[in-house]
Amino acid sequence: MNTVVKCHSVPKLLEVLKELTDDYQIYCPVKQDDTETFLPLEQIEQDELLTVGEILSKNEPPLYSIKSFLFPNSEVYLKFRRNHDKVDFTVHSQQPEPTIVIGGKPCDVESFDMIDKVFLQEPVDTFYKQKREQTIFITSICTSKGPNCMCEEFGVDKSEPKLSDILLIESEKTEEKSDGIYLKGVSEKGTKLIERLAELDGLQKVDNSPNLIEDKEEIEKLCPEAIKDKMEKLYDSDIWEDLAMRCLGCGICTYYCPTCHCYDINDYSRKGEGVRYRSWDSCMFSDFTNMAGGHNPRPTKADRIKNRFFHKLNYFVKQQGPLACVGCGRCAKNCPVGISLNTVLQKIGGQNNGK
Amino acid sequence: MRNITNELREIAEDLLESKKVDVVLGYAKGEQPYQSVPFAAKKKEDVENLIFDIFSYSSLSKYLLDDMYRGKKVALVLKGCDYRGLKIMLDESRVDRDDLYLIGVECRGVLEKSKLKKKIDATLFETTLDLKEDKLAISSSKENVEVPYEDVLSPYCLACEFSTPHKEEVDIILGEPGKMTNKELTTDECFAEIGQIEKMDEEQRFEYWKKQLNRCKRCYSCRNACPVCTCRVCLFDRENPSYLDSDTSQLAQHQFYHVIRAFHISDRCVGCGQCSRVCPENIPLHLLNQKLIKELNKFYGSYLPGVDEQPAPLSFAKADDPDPFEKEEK
Repeated sequence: MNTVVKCHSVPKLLEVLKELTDDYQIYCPVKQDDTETFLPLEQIEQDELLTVGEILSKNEPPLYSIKSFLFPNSEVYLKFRRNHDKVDFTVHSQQPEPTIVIGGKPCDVESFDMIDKVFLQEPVDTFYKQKREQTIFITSICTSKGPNCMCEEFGVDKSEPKLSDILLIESEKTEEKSDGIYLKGVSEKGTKLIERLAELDGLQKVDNSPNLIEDKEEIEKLCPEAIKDKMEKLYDSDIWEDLAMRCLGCGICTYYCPTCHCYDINDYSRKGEGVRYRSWDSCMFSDFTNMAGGHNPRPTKADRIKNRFFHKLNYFVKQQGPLACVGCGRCAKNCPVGISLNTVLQKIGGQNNGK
Repeated sequence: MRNITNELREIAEDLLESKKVDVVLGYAKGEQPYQSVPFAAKKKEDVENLIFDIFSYSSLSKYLLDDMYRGKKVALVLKGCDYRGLKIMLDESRVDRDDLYLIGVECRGVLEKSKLKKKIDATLFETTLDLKEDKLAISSSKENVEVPYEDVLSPYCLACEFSTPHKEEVDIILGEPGKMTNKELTTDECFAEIGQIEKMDEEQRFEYWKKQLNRCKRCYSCRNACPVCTCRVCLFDRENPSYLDSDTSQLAQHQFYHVIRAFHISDRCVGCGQCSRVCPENIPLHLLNQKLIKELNKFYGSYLPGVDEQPAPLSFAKADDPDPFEKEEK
């Protein structure tokens, strides 16, 4: 039996959650300057609280994915300093603080399934693992599909995502009145937090969360194996050259993608001391696989685009099983020249189960 | 505005059939509503995809620098600002005019989708747009409204004086030059935010830009979409030495990137507005560029990149050049 608590509105919920800021870092999606961004709860102004509610009740993911809470854009992991004729190294490991992230969507939280497969297998990425254990994701579920959404095709259950810690369910709105916000514990750490929340003023324990009736559309899931095989035939296709003729070579598709996880390693040093850090990389950048000697195995834009889609739709299936996409639609929404994963799926007729 | 799509397709087909060109680089309908994307027509069957409309934002000239276009004869669809971008590349011998067939198109401005969304309380999927003489008619299942173009047009287009390339500059021109809106606006009116930012004190201004630039994810879409950012190797891509730290938690590095880029293109910016348009984080980069243009005009006299002949004001120095930093020296 899942524990469920109820609250009458999003602003109220955020107010209650403020009582936990001594124990948790809490992040919420908010709209500032017409742009959706995640901010610590205490930095959100009173008049912005409504925008939090708006973002949570949208049936499409926020601008930015939540992967950066586990895999930050930049992360220092080694410190070094010159000590006469030697160099001293120290591992820069900071025990991450317990964190609550509100507002990821089912697609976002399910994307961790792909990143887990890469970062949690041996050798384990300890930085990622620690954050994974210390972070509680409150996922606001979707009741219908957004304009670019393809989560169900990629096997995401938009009303009951497996990997979420807590589900945020907004009861069906009638006119302008909403009956309330329900939080339902799913994982162990999520349920523990719900138990604690139930003791706070403004939240009450209830028996069950509402079952939102949705127009159950039969959506055929994409078959990873079939897609993988169809991609094999596309290796020498002209499509990569065609896409390259309009691709800008910027990093939007990879940086806003919830499942992309490539990183680069850099040193920063001044006056005999410095740090080694990793930062996100993008396979769309011309220097992505540039070697120290100057050789680049993927010298052209077409090579790099091919690599991105093969990684998602072929290599990842071969190595890990699933397709490396959760159908969030961010690439479709944000690419300035309209290239999305769907562009390639359409080419291979992937929308019909790849049969 | 006359629909020139059909004429465009005829010309493209003719160019490809007669082997005058290998590629016609234009626009096609994108997968999103009201989205036009760059499209390279390589054979007769591709031609039917070509369109030109008020969402044909991208400057196509920069693609010519890409290896895959090298050595090819290319026909290029150009709005006024696009031609200005190309002219800078021609003047700098980056491309050979003999390899190009230029199709100038009548441009009466491009619509800003972000502004359009604010005007209508519905998703763009459900609306149809009708271009009228001086208004845009938007109809959806919910409502029908007419909005003046100045409310939905790109601020750049409202003050643009070179919306369509000159006849002599291109090989063919489609449509007739004209303005989309009857209202003539000055640059100051189009970029009213600059006036507001100028009024801020130093600290407020710093906070304003800090907040804006802090959202940068360093995806480089602003640089890559810019038709005048044409360095062979960008300073920010150099690895040895590396000028820009890829640590994105350092705000100073975002400032460094955007400020240096703004300076680099200050006497080259042709005002297409693509930098702000492609930015997923809505950083108002066009304000940086417009402010610099304003300052350059003040110090060195008016200069229109891609219209006036080179040299550009920052590409040479004279002994009596104004020195705005002089008084700051101690």
